[in-house]
Amino acid sequence: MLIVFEILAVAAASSIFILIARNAAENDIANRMIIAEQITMSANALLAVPGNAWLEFPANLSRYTEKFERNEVGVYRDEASLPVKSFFVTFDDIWLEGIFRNKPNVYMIKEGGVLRVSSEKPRLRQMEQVPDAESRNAEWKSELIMLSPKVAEGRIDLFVQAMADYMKVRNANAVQADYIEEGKKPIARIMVREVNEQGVIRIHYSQIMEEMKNRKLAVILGNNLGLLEDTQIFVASGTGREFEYANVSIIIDIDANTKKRSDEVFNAVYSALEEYYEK
Amino acid sequence: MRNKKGDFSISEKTMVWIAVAIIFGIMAVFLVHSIEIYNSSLVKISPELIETFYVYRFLNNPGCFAYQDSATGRVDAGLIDMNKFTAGRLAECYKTNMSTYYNFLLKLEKTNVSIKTQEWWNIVHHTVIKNVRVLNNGSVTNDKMLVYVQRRLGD
Repeated sequence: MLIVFEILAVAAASSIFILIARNAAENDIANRMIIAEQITMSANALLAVPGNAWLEFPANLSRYTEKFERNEVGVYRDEASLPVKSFFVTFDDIWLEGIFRNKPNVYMIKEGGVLRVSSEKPRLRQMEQVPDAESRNAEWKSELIMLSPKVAEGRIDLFVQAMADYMKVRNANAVQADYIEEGKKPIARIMVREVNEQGVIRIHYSQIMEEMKNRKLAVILGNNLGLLEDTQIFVASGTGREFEYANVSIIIDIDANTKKRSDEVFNAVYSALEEYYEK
Repeated sequence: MRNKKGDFSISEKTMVWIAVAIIFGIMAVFLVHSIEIYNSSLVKISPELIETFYVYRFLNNPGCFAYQDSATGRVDAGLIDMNKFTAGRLAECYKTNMSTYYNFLLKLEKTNVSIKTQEWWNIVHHTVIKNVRVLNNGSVTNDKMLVYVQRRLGD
């Protein structure tokens, strides 16, 4: 009798462990947790970009059901099972709703400030073209003008002169984009001119190239422009396709009626660029 | 099982087996719990990453504080529009409730303006500092935004 009891006990203990091992092997809670968390992160990422965007969930979800309800997403193996849930914090008026049963693809879309989920690949509206800064309603009007010494026949003095000309020509619609090469590295120079209703011109000058060189330029520009009021210089670094780069930006407010002030600025920029290129 | 007197009794061996069964049961529960903890650790997302997304929402999204040109609709990411930098706006772009994991106190250092989410209890777990530009009455100045993060209690 005792032997039978012992055998049953061993069998029961073994069964428990086999059952646990099988459940662990078959259980896809980890997968579902990953899916729920990644969906949440996708929603957060989309809400962190300024414009329209969409992204496709990077995995086949046909084995699962995803249920979106207000600010939570539940991922089910089947509808009878308990879901794995994840939460995100949305805007006051943005709620996600919908059930996606065994859909292979799920797309998260942010369009016009509204976040939604779809199993169909989205066709977002084409970006509306920004008008040419003529609206009088806008407090600041902006133009993006990309210049380079190549545009100005490779001469830095002409380049600076071109900057000055663009600044002086109010409401210019010219937009130019160009690159030069220093070694094999492209360099882009960007100038944004903004004019407000009081006629104050604001120049944003950016130069994007390798980080260390840009930092050098930033220091030189800082030394040349540092004494001028309202001049802000900052360097931000990033990663391009081919190399680490930095973006040095100068923001200068210039009263269009004060010629002396604009001369000061352009003399300072001219000197800095000249020093940088060791001319 | 009966003893010599004919009463039921439990032998020592049976007691041992019962004890073994209990120990095995506890081990099984422990094993299941360990697997759950392991699964959770596999998918844990760094709180710093989650916070970063929220911080960029505050800086880049025109529904939060980013300046948006009313005529062109163009958004100037990273340019804080002081007209928007209010607690009411924050409540709209980051809707909190008691179960919200992350709460924030946002402070513009030079401008010296602070706003906070509804469930902010002044418990700072982490601070994120971002260089921003601030648009105030038509002029733009450089500033620093200090984002104090209060994570879910217990995290």
